Formats: sequence, C-alpha cells, structure tokens
Amino acid sequence: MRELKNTINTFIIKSVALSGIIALILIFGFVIRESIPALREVGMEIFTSFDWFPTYDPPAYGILTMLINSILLTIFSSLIVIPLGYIIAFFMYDYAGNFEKKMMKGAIDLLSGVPSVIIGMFLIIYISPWMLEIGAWSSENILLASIGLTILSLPYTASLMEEAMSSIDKNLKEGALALGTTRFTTGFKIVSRAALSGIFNAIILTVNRIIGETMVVLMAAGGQICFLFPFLIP
Amino acid sequence: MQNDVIIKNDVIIRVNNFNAWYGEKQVLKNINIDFKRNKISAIIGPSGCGKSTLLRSINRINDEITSYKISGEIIFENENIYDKELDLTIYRKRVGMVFQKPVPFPMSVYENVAFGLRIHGMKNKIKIDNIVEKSLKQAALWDEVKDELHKSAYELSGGQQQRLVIARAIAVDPEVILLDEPTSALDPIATQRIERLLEELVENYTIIIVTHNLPQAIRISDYIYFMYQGELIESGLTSEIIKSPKNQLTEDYLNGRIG
Repeated sequence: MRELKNTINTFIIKSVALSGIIALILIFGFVIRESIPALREVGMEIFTSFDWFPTYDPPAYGILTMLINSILLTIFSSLIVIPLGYIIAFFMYDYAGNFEKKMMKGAIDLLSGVPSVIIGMFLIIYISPWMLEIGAWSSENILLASIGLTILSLPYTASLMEEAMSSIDKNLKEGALALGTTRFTTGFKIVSRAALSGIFNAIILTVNRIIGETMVVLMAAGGQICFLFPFLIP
Repeated sequence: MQNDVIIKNDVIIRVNNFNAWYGEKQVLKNINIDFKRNKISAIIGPSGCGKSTLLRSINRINDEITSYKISGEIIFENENIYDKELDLTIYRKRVGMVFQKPVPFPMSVYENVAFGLRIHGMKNKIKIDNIVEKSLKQAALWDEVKDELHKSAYELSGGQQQRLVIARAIAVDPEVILLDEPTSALDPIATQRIERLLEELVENYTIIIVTHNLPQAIRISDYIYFMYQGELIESGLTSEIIKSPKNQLTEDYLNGRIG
C-alpha cells in the first residue's frame, strides 16, 4: 500500500515538473517558429545595422542600437548596484544592531515593493530638472535610467546578499573570530567567501532584473532609438 | 611570601565572582575558578549547567550574543579580559578556542592554517610554510594531508577537520587553548587521536576542555571542575575527585545518577 502511494506521489510530482518544462520548451519553440518568416525577410541586417526605421520604405530593421544600449545600461547599473548592495548587506550582517537591522529590513522590504511607475515618476519630477541644470541635453537620458534601476534593484540585491551571508553557519564566524580575526576580515574574507554561491546568485538575479525592467527605462530614458554612448545624451 | 608568588604564577586564568545572563535567565552564578598553567582542566556537568557559557566567556566569543550580560571578572595574566581597553584580536590570539563542530574555513588545508598567521601580520612565505607544517604535525594531521595541502578543507573527514581546526588554533602560538566538546561529533578512533594530541600539547600550552564525556575527562584531565545548574559545585585534582567526591551532587553525577 505504502509502495503504491509512493509511486503515485512520485508520478504526480514528476508530471507536474515535466509539464512546466514542456510549457517552457513550447513557448520557446513558438517564438522561434513565428519569428522565422520575419528573420528570413530581414536577414542578418537585424544584428549588423544600427538603423531602426520600421515604417520607412524600404524599412530598416537593425536592432543593434537597442541591443548595445540595453547592454550598456545593464553594465552601468550593475556596476553601481552590486557593490553598493554588497556593502549594505555587509553592514546589516555584521555591524548593525538588532534595532538598526529591523529598521533597515523594514525599509528595504518597503522599497522593494514600490512599483516601477512610481520610481519613473519620481525621476521625471525630481531628478530630471536637476539633470538639465547640470548640463544634460535632454530631460530623458541613460544616466537617469541608471539611477532609476539602482533605486529599483538595490533593496532586492541587498536583501538577497544579506540572506546569503546569514545562511552561513554561525560556527564559521565564531571560529574565525576566536582566532583573533577582526570583524571586518571575518565578514569579508571568511563569511563572504563561504557565501560566494549565494552572492553570485544574487548578482545574477539582479542583472536579470535590470535587463528585464522596461517601465523605468522607458520613462527615464525615453523611447528614442539613438546611440546613447555619452551618458547624458537622450 | 615566596609561596604566594609561586601560587600566583601557577594560575593563568582566574575567574572571579563571575555571573552571566542570557536576557533574564542567569546561567552562571558566582563562579570562582583558578585555571592552572600547563595543565588540562576539564569542566564537566550535565547539559545546560553553563559549562560552555563559561568557556565561551573566557574567549569572549559570547559577546556575539546580544542578550548576553555579565558581572564579575576574568583575569588573564593580571589583566581583566572584560576591560574596555583590551585589544580583543591580540587577546584571542593568546587564548584560542576550538568548537564542538569542526568548521574549517572555505579554503585549502594549507590556507586554513596559514590564515591565522597572515591576519596577525606574518608575510614571510618560508616562515609560514614552516609553521603550517609544524602545526599540522603537532595536530597529527601532517602525514594524512602532506601530499594534498592545496585541496579544499571540506574534503577532509570529520576527525581530520577537527584536527585541522586544532592545527589552525595552535599555529598562531596561543598560550591557552579552550576546547568546547571537541570530540562529541567524532568516532572513537578520531577521539583517541585527539585525546593523545591534547596530552602532548599540554607540555607547551594550557588546555581547558569542556566535555560531556565523563570517562574522557577522567582519562585526560589533571583538574576537574564540576558544574551544576550554573554553579561550580566541586573542583580539584581529578584523581582525588574521582576517588572521594565531597559533594553529594558530584558523587551522583560520577555514578551516573544525574546527567
């Protein structure tokens, strides 16, 4: 009887898991299949051209500008978010007292719940005029988008990293401290190293989130398609 | 007068009217102990009697627990270790601690031992090599790991990890080694190796061990301190306490009636 139950349970779990995987494969297959005619029409131009004029005659379909902009924005924002997130996590893990920790956790949870439209609005109303003052050419630029992405993903990154560090065996920390290691070295060299996989995980999720975020970028950097290399140009 | 000096010199750590609380709960009640230099002192007693807390207080690792409060003093070489002026990193270098659960650092076997040396400012590679080798030999681990010093410490067995942690502790050349039930997670053979190791180490170091394992305390210790519900009930030479305990509680514990 118990054998039978076990078999049934295993079957149910396996089939549910499998259906998820199958759905994923089907979505992927569908996207590729549906895009084949378009890709055939455009050819390699899509990856080699900077021109995106889909409504012209003849139309041009180069997504290179957007691709590069996305990558640049992601790299730039990650460079701000990841070190900052790590420092916040480090502080919460090691230096913050109970009260501080509670306050910070509360603030972080609240911040990570703020919808991205609100952050976009905040940027447009408060940060953007100030940017014009310091010499940006336009009220919408990539730096603004970076700031927005930082605000958006920093709480998330910090709390993920803090969790990764907190999940490390307390004995490890005590062992290092008992050897006469300072608090900083213990956290930085021992605990962080032990938490490395968790921290990497946090980094990957952060980058994912930055790439996937559309609302803030659209509101802060505008919908124009041009090459935005100097950060203050729209 | 001269007698007095000798007695003072003999004592390396003196615990004076020491009380400790976790929040509202008092876990150590007016403890007075003189730990003797170059001896193995064993603190024994049933679970929850405060023996680990006492040991952790001596290394001040309990500072990590926020609800923890103390009164009284612990004197190490004429210095109150709860003095605000005390440099904790230097103190902990002199009084090392080994915990119940062996947790090596997430690095290679070699780096685990060298880490302590590096944080205390040693840079000379040859010197570090020598001390690593010496410490691993002292901890009776060298022969088992000498060919694979650079593999991860997590690949070692539990007994090897505990010996590695001991090697790590003695590498920084402490004066006192505190051990909190170092063998409770180990098999009998590994336990035996560590007991033998402690007996060798005591020539150069002072060893204070907390143990749940009464036969082990009797086998290796010179002095026994019996604690019960936060109080020090009886202390003295191991041989005397085993033969003729003065307190009823001690006798009950030794005979297995409590604990």
